[in-house]
Amino acid sequence: MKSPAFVRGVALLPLGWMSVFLLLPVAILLRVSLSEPRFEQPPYSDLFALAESGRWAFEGTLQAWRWLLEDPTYRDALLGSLTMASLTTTACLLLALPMAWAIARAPLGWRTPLLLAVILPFWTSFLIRVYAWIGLLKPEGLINAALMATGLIEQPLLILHSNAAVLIGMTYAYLPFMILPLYATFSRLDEDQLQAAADLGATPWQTFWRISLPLAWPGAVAGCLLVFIPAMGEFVVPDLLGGPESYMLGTALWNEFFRNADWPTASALALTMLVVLLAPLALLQRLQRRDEVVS
Amino acid sequence: MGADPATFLRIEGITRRFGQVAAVDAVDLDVARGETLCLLGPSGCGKSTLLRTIAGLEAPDSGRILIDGEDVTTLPPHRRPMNMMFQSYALFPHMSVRRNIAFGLERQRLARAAIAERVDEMLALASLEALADRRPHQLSGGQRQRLALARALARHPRVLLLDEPLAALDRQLRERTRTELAAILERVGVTCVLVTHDQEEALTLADRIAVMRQGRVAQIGTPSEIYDEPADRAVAELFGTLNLFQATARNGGLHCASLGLSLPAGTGQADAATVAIRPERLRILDGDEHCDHEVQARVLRNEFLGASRLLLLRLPDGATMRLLTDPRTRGEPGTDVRVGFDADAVRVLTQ
Repeated sequence: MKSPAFVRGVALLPLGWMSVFLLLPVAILLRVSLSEPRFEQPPYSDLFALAESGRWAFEGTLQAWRWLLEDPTYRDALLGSLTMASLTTTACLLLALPMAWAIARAPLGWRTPLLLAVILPFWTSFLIRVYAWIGLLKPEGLINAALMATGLIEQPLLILHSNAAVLIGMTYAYLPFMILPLYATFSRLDEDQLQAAADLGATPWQTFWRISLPLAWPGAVAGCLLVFIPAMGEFVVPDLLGGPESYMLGTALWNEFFRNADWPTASALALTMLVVLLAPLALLQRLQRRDEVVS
Repeated sequence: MGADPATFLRIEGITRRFGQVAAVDAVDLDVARGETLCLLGPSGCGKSTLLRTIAGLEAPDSGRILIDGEDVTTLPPHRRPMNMMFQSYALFPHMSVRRNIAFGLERQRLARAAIAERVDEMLALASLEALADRRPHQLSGGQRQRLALARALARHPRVLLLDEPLAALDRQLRERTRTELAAILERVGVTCVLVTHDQEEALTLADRIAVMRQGRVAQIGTPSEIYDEPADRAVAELFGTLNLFQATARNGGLHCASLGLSLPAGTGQADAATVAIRPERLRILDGDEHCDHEVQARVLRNEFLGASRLLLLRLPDGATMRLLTDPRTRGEPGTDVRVGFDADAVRVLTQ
């Protein structure tokens, strides 16, 4: 039998992982965020300095945090990220629900090829796939050309370099993360329960809304988190497809680190994002605990 | 149509094929209003497929299903005037007991007050009043079974379909639940088609039993007809143990060597047949007692079963047979006994 020491050892593994790759970096970020930027290596000031009196003095500053609060750019970036991540999550959910349902209800031999079609794009670089959207969305691109050829529009639509393009690109990029967990729950639904609903007078549509969807709720929650969290920090898509209006947290972070070389502000920004992302995770935890109480 | 006016549910030549195999093969059945018909047979005999076809969950390859003269063959399940109780119960796990029962009524767009009233009626019928706000997983097996039944009955189905209604329960609970089920069916008076592989269930719950085999109806009749006058050996073997002996043609009649028994002409059409006697129709005879037929036998084993006693006997020609009797009966292994049986206990079976 497994000894208590072994069990404790196994439990320490994730704890160790957490310490090295989450707690330690967070501590470093916190430390950097309390310093001033410097044009040297490392590019931030020391927290403690030896004063003339011969005593160590705390030299930290809350300046970076003050900037975050005072400069509306950061607030706009946060709001921009929240809006775009929410829109992306909603769009993914609306698109993934029928797709996941269709795959789960498809004949057995069809399911694997269909799932593969969902996953296959992952085999190409994320950057290349997002880049390809430029070719599709630009004024002389494929979509505009097709729409103009059919006579639906006279002038090309200016989609590229707008928030619409960012939404399209992010929805495209994160859709599989929504489809997969939804498919998993849909395919585990009890066939008898769906048939019982039909037997009790529910149309297929009513069965979907009253039985399938409520029972697939955990999959939807998981999918929403899997989309929302990376979408909050996304910077590639707004950078490539977005315009000046598409200023998001990820972009701001990138700018502070690499363009402005302002590590303290960038660190404060990164910590803010972490805290913002903890909210949906805490929500999930509460939902899961509620489910455990029920089952 | 020259249909029997008593017929309420009519199944006409229903065939359902899976690939090359006909799971249900041109089955005709008539069920009278208020009658409980039981489809009995081993797994794979097509009884469940037939039930699901009646419910509309399977589409037949050919044939018709009529309820009170109305053809419902092509109606989707949600538009058929019948409800089914699933073997797995198929309760909705995210809904309370009350909401499970209300589900079918809500689909009928009844007034809220009418739904609440009917749900309360059903809760009372299933003795679930105190548990109305629980979820299915908070119920015991027997309570879940009653909930599934109540949910299926809530919509006043014209035909109630029961798929192995007791199979998910453990043995002790099954017997009590069977009695409850019989009482509820009688009180509601609904026309009912019940599928089971359990002969005891069939005998106790059914007005008539249709024994199914390889997609066809092997025999249909009242429980006592099926039990006492099985059409063939396979039907007879469905119901408990049976003593079977070879019989050969002799002098225009049949002769069974093991029992030393000669049967007059006309009892068996074939040149060879099987003679069957149920263990409970055999008796151990005391000194001056006599029966229509008697045979000597030696006791091999004597098993006390509580309510009865099972004796394994060896006949003079070496054949063995079982005898079910009063638990107080003596009969030590190794002793010789005289065994008697009445003429009407002997069945001649073809095949």
